[in-house]
Formats: sequence, C-alpha cells, structure tokens
Amino acid sequence: MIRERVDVAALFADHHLGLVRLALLMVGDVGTAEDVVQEAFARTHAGRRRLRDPGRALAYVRSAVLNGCRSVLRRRSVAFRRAVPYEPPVWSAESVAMVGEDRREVLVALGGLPRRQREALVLRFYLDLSYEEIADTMGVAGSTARSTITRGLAALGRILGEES
Amino acid sequence: MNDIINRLRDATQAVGETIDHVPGLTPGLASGLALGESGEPGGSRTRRSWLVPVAAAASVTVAVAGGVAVARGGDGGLGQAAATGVGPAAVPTFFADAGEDGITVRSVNGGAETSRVPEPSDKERFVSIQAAQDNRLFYAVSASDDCRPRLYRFVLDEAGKIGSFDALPFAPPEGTRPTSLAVSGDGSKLAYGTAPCGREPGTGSLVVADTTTGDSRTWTAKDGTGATNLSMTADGRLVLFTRDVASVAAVAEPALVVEPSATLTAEVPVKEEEATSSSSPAVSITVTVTPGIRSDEKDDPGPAVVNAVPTAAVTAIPAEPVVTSDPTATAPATILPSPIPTAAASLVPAEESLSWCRFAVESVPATPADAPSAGKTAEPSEPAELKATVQVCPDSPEVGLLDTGAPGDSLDKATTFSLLNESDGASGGVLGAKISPDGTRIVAALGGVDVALADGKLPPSSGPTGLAAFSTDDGRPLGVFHRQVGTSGLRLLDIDGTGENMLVTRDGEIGAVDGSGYRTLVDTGDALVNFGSRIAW
Repeated sequence: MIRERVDVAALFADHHLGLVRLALLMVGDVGTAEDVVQEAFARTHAGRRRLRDPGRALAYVRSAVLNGCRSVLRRRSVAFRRAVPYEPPVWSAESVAMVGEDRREVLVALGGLPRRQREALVLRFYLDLSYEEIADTMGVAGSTARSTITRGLAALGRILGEES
Repeated sequence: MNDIINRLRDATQAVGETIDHVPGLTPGLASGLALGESGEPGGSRTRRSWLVPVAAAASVTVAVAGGVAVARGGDGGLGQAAATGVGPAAVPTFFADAGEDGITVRSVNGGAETSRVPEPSDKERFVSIQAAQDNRLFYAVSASDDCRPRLYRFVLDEAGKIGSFDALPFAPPEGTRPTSLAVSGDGSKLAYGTAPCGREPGTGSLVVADTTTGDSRTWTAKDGTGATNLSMTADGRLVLFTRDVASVAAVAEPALVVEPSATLTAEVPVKEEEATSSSSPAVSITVTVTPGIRSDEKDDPGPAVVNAVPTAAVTAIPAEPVVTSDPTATAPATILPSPIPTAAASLVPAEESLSWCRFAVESVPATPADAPSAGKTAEPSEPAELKATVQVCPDSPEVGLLDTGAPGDSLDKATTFSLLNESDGASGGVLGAKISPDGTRIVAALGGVDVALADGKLPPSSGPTGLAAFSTDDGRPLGVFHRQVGTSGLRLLDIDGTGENMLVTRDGEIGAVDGSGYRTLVDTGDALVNFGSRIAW
C-alpha cells in the first residue's frame, strides 16, 4: 500500500508541470489548470488502491486531468451567475502578446473543435503520444483515436483555411 | 496538412512554454506523500498550499438534481395511465444514472448494468433523469454548449434494456440550462427548472409541460435565483423544489454569522522552514463573502454563514509566483458562487449556485516515531498519512412547494418551508428533500457527509442521521423513519413510485432504504461519487 502511495506521489512529481501545461491548453488559464491537476492528484491519490496496473498510471492521471478540464469547461458553459472576472485564456486577444497572433488563431480554432477532437489533437501533437496511448487516455479504441485525429485535423484545416 | 500540424505543434508548445514551473502541491502533502524536493519544479519557492481541489469539492456538493415521479397505487384513480401507457406504481427493479458517460441503467438486484446510452454529442450531455411510477418509463433532459436543451424519453423492458430512446418533439426554451427534472406518476407531466445559459446573469424559472401536447406553463423566479432539486406528486399538481440559494462558506469554526458582503480576514502563518528568501513570512487572506442571491430590499436576505476551522486550513495562494516576493503579501481571494477564479487569486472558484462547505488538510506521520518536523520532507520510504476531508455542503433547508393548479406565474408565490435540521434525534444539514407520492409528506435526509481524501473513505457522522418526514401542510416535522448511527450521512436521491423505497447514497455506495432498513445496490467505489450525476428510479 505504501509503495503505491509513493508511486502516485512520484508520478506527480515527475509529471506535474507537463500535466499543468496539458490542462492549460484545455482550460486556458494557469490558475484553473493548476486546480484541475491538483484535483486529479487528489482523485488519483484517493483511488490509488484501484490503480492495479502501474503501467497505466500516467494514462489514468492524464484521463483524470482531461476529465477535470471537461468539468471546468462545462461549468463555464453553464454558469448560472458570473460575478467574478476570470483570467483571460491564453488564446484570448489579451494574451496575443504572449503567444503571437498566428498561434492565437490556431488556438482559437482548436478551442472551437468538438471536445474529443480537441483532446485527441493535443495528446497527439503536443504530447506526441501514440495512437494507442491516446486511446488509453481517452478510453476509446485505437481506431477511434486515429479517426478522431484525422477529423480534427481536417476541421482545423478548414477553419484556418477559411480564416486565411 | 503538414502545415496545420506544424502550426498546431508550434502553438501548443508556445502555450506550454508560458509556464516554466508550477508550485508544489503542499508542504504537508509533499512531506506526507514523499514528494521529494528534487523532483519538484516548484520546490524552491513557497509552495502552494494544498487546497482541496475545488472541482472535486464542488462535485461532491452538487445537489442531486431531479425530482421524483411518484404515485401511490390507487390514489386518486391515477393507476394505469392511458395516455402514456404507464403501468401502476411498482417497486423499482432498475435505477438509472445520467452522468459523464451518458445514461447507465442498472438492476436493483445486484447493481449489474443492463443498458447504456452515450451522451447525445460532444456538446450535449444529460443533466437530469427521472422515472415514472412504473419504473419503466424514463425521461431525461440535456444541456448543450449551444444552449439548446432537449428532452428525451425511453422505456425499459423487463430485462432493463432500453427499447426505444427518442427526443421529445418539444424542448425547454433555447438559451436556458435545465437544472432538474421531475415527472408525474403517469408520465404525462414534466417539471423542470431552468437557469440562464451562457455568461449573462438572468432569471431562473420552473416549467411544467404536458408530455402529450408540449403545452407548458412557466413560473419565473426573482432575478438571479432559480429552482433545483425538483420533485412532483403523482398527480402532477404539487412541485417541491429547492431554492437555488448559493450558500457561501469558508473555513472557520464555530460558525460565524456575517452580514452579506462582509469581509473576513485571517492571518495564516507560513512556517519558517517553508519560507524561502523570496517568500512571504505571513500571508493574509481576505475572504469576501458575497451572498449568492441579491434579495429585494423588502425581503430579509438572511445572513451568510461562514464556517471556519480553527486550524486554518485555508492558505492564501498567490496566483502569480511573483507575488511571493512581497514580504507582506496579501492575497485577496474571493469566494463566490462562481466556477471562475479571480485573476488575483484562485482560492476557491466555487461551483455556480453551490459551494463546498469546508475542508481540513492535515498531514500526520505514518508512525509517531517517524514524525518529521514541520516543513521537512519525509523520507520516501516513510510516507506520512495525509488527512484531508471535505465536508459536503448540505442543501438549503429552504424548500418551495408550488401548487401548479393555482393562478400566477411567479415562483415566489410558492409556499416556503424551512426544514428543521434536527428532528427526533437525527440532526445535520438537509441532504436532499423530495415530496411523497401522495403529496402529504416531504422526505428529507438529515445529516452530514465528510469525505476523507486521504483514504477515500467517508468518516462516520458524529451523531445520528437519517430520513425524516415533514408535513406539506406547514412543514412541521413528522418524525424520523430511518435512523442510523456510526455511518456516514446519507443523501436522498429519489423516492420510488410506491413512496415506500428511497434511493440514497452513502459511503460511496448507491443504496436503498425501505421499511427493513438500508441495503447496498451498487458500490461506486468512489467516495467522491459525483452527486451531480443524476440518479433516479
């Protein structure tokens, strides 16, 4: 049991920054991204006894992060009250100085894709995961991961093509 | 295509590189979990206190939306409903969960999954589900990113398989987000709460619709309020709901009563060993408490209650690392019923219309002899035990009872009851309130639920908890009909068509309470079971 606990901790120690970056790409601001990753940590830690296959632990954690991002995005989209201004996302006009206009266009286009396509593209081209790893993380079949990426790229191309 | 890929890689890498390090998890957590300094990019600066992640906390506080379609067999001649083909009230054999994975139908006997429906699309998800009195006809309502909610209907066969699954030809108004669904006993009427969809504040409402014709009637709430947690009598006349009052709670105990918009400031010392040259010796937290509901002047807005734990589990978290260079940094943190953190500090971006109540984080050594001194990192081979608990927010004890046969279109005309949180020995917050099939009683779960994140378990409640009944005439307590001691508090999810069987969650399980007591239906295996995934039978 102790061994498992240490493994979870080590996992996050090794991948904390990468996971926050992944979450940042999904939710747009660092504060929320950090919260999402912390939540993923808490959930993984609480459920560590169910982590039977250490080899899948990172995929499990990535899934937890993606799930957390989805929850955040859902809450934003269905927000009932909005009393607090929030940190502008990295793809907002306010952040253009940080990443540049061309990149911002790509990020806006990415953000406009269906959730699964967006996730699959980030896992594939940001994290450079294999189709199998993407499938594992997203809980879908390898063929589905592949086709989702293909469709996502096509959609991205259409959006960016239209813009240019 | 390669150009697109290259641009995508470039843009995502650029975003990733906007962060070059992240704060550590928490001193206590780090030591408790043997997060070594070496492996932690943010280890050299004041570490971010380990807050119970808001999303996790919020997820356990999400009220179980959804009402209950209930009917007593033979009451008022409801019985067989010709219009919808719904049978008489029956003891449930199935229950359904509308969660992240779509709709899952399970057998009451053994909890085995019998059927599943995926989410309608990437941008549309089920938010509430309810069954008619026969436990075969189910309705679900969805919310979507484009603010076009839809209603669905499906029927189960005797094996629990979904025979037909169809969208209804009518839907909640565009631009709204359904909060909760309730169904009359024969399935001929639906009631649902709506909230504004999107970013503009607006007004909530309660809608009752005829499932045959689509005709509907709407009751509108005051600006900024709404109705959740709906349940409906068998005849569809009475609708019980929880006023969507956003309670605000931060850490402090005993409970403080503060005026709306009061500001609470607390000093949280940072241990010397944890502080670095660039970090602040003390961090002041300013918690602004703002009532979620802006009441009219003529109404008593009621106090906002702030609960606090003396051990000061909240530590200010400067959102920007540079803030720590200020020796007397003040991190203003706003706790508001909003999912979005402030730019200044992401202390508690609480979920809209709901909030976590309180949490406490404590790290203790696995064995007393190995107790590491404060701020020191434990040896990896001697991890300390992390103790963290989240107290699940109770619902508002204020429930509204709407007589849909009465004239008027204001939800504020509904009768309001404040359910006592102590009845016949059971005490605690209200964790779900539903109206009985015949409309004579309000059934509410009384108790408290703490979630220990350390071991994923739910510690037992401190006192007796249970299910209590209240009169719908005047809200007076009628007694406790299910009492439990030494277990975690339970949350009432639904009442069946007969009115005799209560669907509840307890200890990470979904269970049932009937005349013979509690029994487990399925162990979700997750103490942080997402109550927001609507569960009904």
